[in-house]
Amino acid sequence: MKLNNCRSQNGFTLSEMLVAVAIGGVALAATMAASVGLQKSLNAVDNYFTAHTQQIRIVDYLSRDARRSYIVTSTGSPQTVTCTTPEYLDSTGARRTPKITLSANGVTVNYRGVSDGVLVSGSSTLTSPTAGFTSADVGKTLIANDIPAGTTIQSYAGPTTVVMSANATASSASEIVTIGNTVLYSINGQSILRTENGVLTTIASSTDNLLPSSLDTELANTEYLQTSITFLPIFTSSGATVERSGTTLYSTVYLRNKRRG
Amino acid sequence: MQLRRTNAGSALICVLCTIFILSLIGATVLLNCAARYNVTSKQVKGWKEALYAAEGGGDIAFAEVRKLVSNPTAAFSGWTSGVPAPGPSSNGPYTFGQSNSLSTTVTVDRLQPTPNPNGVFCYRIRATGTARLFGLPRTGLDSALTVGGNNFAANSATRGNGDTLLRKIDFKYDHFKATYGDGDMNSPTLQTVPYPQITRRIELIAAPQFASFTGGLMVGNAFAGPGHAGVVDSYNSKNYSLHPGYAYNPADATNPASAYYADARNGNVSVGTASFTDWGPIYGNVTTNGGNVTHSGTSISGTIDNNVPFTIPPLVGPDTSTFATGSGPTLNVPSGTSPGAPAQYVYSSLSGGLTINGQTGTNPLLPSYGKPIETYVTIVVGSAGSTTGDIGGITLGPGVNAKIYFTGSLNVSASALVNNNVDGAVGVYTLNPDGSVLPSVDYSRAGHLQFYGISPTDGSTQSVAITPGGGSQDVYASIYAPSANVSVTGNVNWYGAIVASVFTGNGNGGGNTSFHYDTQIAGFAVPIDYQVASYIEDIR
Repeated sequence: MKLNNCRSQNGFTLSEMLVAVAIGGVALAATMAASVGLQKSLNAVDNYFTAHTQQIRIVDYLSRDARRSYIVTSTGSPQTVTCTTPEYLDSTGARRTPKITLSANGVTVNYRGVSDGVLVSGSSTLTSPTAGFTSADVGKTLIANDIPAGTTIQSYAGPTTVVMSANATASSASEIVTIGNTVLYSINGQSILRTENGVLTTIASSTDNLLPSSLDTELANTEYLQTSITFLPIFTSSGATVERSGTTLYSTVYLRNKRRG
Repeated sequence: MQLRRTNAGSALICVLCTIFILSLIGATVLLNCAARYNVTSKQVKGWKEALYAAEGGGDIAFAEVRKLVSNPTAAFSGWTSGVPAPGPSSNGPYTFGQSNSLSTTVTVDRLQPTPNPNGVFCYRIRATGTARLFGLPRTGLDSALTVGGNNFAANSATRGNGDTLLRKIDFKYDHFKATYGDGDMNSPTLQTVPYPQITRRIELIAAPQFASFTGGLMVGNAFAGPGHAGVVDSYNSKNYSLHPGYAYNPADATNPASAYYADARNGNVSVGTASFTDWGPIYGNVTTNGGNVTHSGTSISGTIDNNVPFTIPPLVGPDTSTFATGSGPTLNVPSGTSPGAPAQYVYSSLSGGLTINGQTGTNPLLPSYGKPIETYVTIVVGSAGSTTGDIGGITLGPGVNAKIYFTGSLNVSASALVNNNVDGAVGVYTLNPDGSVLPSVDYSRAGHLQFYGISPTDGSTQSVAITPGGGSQDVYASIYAPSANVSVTGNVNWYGAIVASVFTGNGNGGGNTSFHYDTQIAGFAVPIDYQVASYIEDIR
């Protein structure tokens, strides 16, 4: 048998192998670095888009609540926006039929309210034989001539009685009281929180790094709310978080229930 | 020796493959990210457009409601039940937008306001707007499904978080019908949707705007009066026990001990310009637009504000196409009328005067037997565009509530305006649809006789001149004539309310012409338009 010696002639030398391994290592390292970089970029882009989506959503939440409110008030420090929205649904989930009152002062549309509210000046107790209060009413807003603005139901004492967060300014045996939902937007650090009747609503999985600003403007025949939310994306560089200025989203919403004519 | 290395050259291929794989990975992740972002953008767009669609439906219905005043015969034409009475009456779907991707349906029903002395109604408009979602049927960024699987729309309680919680996208099923049925929890039904969509629902309340008597004397351009011996004050006709048959006491306005002191000091005067002149006392508030009225040199008991601008819109007459044609000097109002369904007549002129008689109770078993029953009539004098619908005089029987529109003039003596009602509606009854009766609560004597001056379309001015003449100097009536110059002279006592362009009450400073505003008239008016009084979105 004749041995074939061709294989030995085709082998790589050690130096060739070393060079090849070195080159291959560099190529592999470059590939790995590119892959990791690509992954980081993907995460950054994904996070950026996600945060931007949350930014849009928060503005949309705020616009929706402001648009359907009876009353919107805002404060500058701390920054809050409080919306009082009609109680459109009853306890069974059915839509309420509003009580419409025509008077010399205009039209009043009341989805939930009483006209037999009993108030005593200086007292925080509100009673009404027809109110049908429940424990779920805690945190809701009360609107009446003899109740300070911003008063809410502090505690439930029975179907006809609740304790208010503020004292009545005058006595009345037949007070017309409107009961509305309280939607509060507030700031916690650089996060925006939304609570409805005291219960926190998850409006975004993470609201970090969203700086809000709002301005409530009331005109003779209308009222509008201007809001801006600035997004500060955070990127990681050499293990440290770096915050960069990002986009600012502006929104103007006219309060439909303040529109007249 | 010859080596065969050229047969093993694969490095380039390996590099190309690596680059290709990396590019593929990169392209995939970017594509995925961009696709999700695009999906999110479309969902945000669809969510907003669904509201636009719903509000478009609301506007369509609101336009129909407004026709109830401006063109009643054309209102709700083509709707399922015509004019809601009480309805509901529906229309739609209307489609519009990109590839007709937006649609809206709307339903209207009628609601009863309280109180409702003018017999007009409010309307509830429920509009649904739907926007089709283009692109891939998938959740957007930051959205997650918790329970319910890929379709996740069968019940709202199973929704996840992120955009799905706010925008409530229907990928396969209509989540609203599946969860809330008709909206009132009746008959929830699992219903598929033809394509991914977002639906939003709004509810509007359209309420009437009135040409109303909100104050004592309201004039758009100039006010002069009362004279030195005259007075402007007020009373409440509900206080009929004050005197037999009438509620006004001239001493109340100056007697703090009187139980009716507050009622007597609402004789408010509002002027839309700076032109204000008076000589006698005014027991009420005064507002002007740029005037220099002060308490010094005047006898004004209430507040003075010289920075209150306002205009009084022209008054358009009602559609008379369904009115009967009236003739002769006497009109007998038929039974069965109500504030919302008055008898309706049109006259070309009443320069010769008209006597309007009402009804009396006919059931001997009821306390109203032989007593006046409240009846209601609307009369239009003249035709649209004319300026010749003059009124010579009116005599009103007990219980008759007359709203009289006129296109011409009302130049008569005080004794030609005879209102035989009484303050407090003492002895007058209201006949209910079931045949029962109740004591009338139409307390205002002056509110029973209301004149409405239809604004001339040629821009001319109407004339209302009340002169003393002979006989009684007391006039119990109200006038709403935004384009009229109203003058009252002599010793006339006017009880009621006046809205005009110009009011002159003994403008030369002499005479005893006095004006007494009845606060019960504040709720009396005619609708001139509708407004959106309430807006709410059903966010379920």
